[in-house]
Amino acid sequence: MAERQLTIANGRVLDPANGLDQVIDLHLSNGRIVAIGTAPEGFEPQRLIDATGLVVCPGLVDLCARLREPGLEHKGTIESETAAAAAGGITTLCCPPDTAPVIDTPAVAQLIRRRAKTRGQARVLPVGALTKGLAGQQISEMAALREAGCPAVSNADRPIRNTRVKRRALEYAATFDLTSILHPADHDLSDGGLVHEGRVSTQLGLPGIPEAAETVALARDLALAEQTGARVHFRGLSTARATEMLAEARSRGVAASADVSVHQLFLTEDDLYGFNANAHVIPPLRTPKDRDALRAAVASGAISAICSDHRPHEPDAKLAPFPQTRPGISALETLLSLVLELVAEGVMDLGTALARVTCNPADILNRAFGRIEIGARADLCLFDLNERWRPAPEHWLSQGRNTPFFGRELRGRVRYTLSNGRLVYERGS
Amino acid sequence: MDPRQLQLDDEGRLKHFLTTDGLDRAVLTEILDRAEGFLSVSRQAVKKVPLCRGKIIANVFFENSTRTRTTFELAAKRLSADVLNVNIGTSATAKGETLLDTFRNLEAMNVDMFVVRHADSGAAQFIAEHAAPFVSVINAGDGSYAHPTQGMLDMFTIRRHKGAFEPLIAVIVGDVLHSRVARSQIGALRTLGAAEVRVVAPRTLIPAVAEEALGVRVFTKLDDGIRDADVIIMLRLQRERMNGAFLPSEHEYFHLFGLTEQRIQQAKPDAIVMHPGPINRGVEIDSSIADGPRSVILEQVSNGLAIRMAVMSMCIGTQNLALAHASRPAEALAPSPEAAQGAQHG
Repeated sequence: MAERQLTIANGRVLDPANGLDQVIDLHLSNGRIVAIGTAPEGFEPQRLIDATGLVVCPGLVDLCARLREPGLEHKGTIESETAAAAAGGITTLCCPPDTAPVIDTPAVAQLIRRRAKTRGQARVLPVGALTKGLAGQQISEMAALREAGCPAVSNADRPIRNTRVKRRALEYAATFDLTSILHPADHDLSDGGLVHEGRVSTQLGLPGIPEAAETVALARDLALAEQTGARVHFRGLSTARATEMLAEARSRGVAASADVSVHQLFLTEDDLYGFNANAHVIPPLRTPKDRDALRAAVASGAISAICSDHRPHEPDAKLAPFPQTRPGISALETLLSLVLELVAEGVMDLGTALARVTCNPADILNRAFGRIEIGARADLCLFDLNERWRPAPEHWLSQGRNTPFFGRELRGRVRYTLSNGRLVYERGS
Repeated sequence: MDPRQLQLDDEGRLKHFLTTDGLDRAVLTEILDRAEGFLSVSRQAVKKVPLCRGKIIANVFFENSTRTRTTFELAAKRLSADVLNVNIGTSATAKGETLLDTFRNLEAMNVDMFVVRHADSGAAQFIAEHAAPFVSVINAGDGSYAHPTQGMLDMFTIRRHKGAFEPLIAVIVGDVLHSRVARSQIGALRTLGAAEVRVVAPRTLIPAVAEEALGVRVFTKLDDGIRDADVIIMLRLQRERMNGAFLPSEHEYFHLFGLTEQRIQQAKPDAIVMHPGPINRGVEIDSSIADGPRSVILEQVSNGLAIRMAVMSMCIGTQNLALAHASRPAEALAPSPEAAQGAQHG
């Protein structure tokens, strides 16, 4: 239950957006941060959380998490998956429009937001469809979708094969200041493919998805972004070459940003040996060289956000010969720990790493989430930087248990999550 | 799971035969040696041995096949096993039954060995990972990944003609990209120590980074590729490749990659010519070569029987040892670690 007033005492408050990193108290009232440091006059917290030894950071903002509701509730529900998000320190998440029905009408967007409000443990922002039915032919009613609370529009990973339709869709979205989230994939090159076209696809006899499937589409979409001036965000880069192309376009002033799925920073095509269905993801895992380039791009800021790319599945979806398995990883509960792993491995410092999962993704959405400021909503994550743990099915909250990270030792673990000042996750030490 | 760990028991004995990957030279040589012994069975008046008597072997084919299924069936019968032929075709998944359910049903009939053909790469390995303890799986071809008994019967044919593998240059011509036969042949040739393995095809039919991934030399001109070859393996070209963007026409393919009397002059004079069948005469190979003195194509078929008997009897033998071990009173009948781990997948 929500305490009206709450103090988080003696935590290391780390807010990358404001360059704040010090041990200090936070005082919350009615879901908002009302003071940093000394409590306001007459402040009487109903609860005091002793955050000694913990890092207090903004609640994580995840640009891509499939909750599977409506339409695929056997894989996950808004209730189950937002509970998993809370356990992972995530307080805001975007769900892509490829639900069933598709988020191409205000009614579906409102249904998701309403359900998230009544049963959810995190804020859910539905991403609207860029084209009707995601069919890639007719642009959607984006103004209405924006009214209904969609912060961005996207065609998820369905193709818009007609470049003219894509151009018009980007222009129309820009009319309403909506960010267009694009998945760079040339479907004529990727259709039928399962894994990165390279050493492992050749050895395992699995149809490949070439690097060019990503770079060809990225080149086209960057050209459209440059021509139209529309704000575009590229979802889930997977190749070294794509990061170079993006950095080059950005240096010329193209309004393009990009994110990466967190698993791409850890896994490579080598994880597919033995036909490991839990490493079956789209876009596919690529080479160690690609992984290292993606890490470098996240560190430099060329890639400004890290996503969970959460895709929960029922067990049967992964229990089949590899080509019949569904792609995706249940990833909400390991996002923060993996990001902290990047810090431990020296890829980037803690502040930069946290920026990639807090204020940076919020900026891409043009929303003021992911910050610790007086007056801001109290979306907070408290974690122990040094706790070691191994993800295991016994304490997993997502309905999807499809993860290659079960059993892997991770460093850093969430202790408390607050959403709008409400404690939505709490775990004893 | 690692294919070596899956295919061998703790003592290194063959339990499943899914791929040549991960198996060392000793295991492959044992298969060849044992097949040698079975060749004579076919020449006996009574063509049966009792090695698999009382065992049920099920041929479970999700893809159409007459030749491979027939040789597996005959091999099982010569080993005195009872044989079930389960033709599932492509309709089983349409009925909604999952692959595992299909196999659980067959396991309930106490089948001891599954011979599986499936259109998906990795299918045989998946079935082996989830098989009950004391059930063996033999891969009769899965997707573009492996067809290890075909690969080994080709090695057997080569060894009977050439003796040692070390001095050999072996050339595989054709659709390597889609060929499970080629992958198994390449794996076996390399493990058995062939001096050089080459592949020859237009670039549309050569898989990505083939040299690094498969340890072969890649040629796009047949004359260069078969120069000084000891063994020439022609792959079957499936008609559907003509319709896509892989090849423009059969005519052009034969013109550039068909094996003719003239081209074969580049190879060693005693080179042998192989083909896994069925042959497209005039597309991959000239009839005069297919029926000529260098061709060992029909021998491959009879050798296939011996290889399949060898592999089946080895896996059943490993099973019998495990069963005897498990039935000792002191030993608990625990599921194999493979089966237990498999169950945790997903």
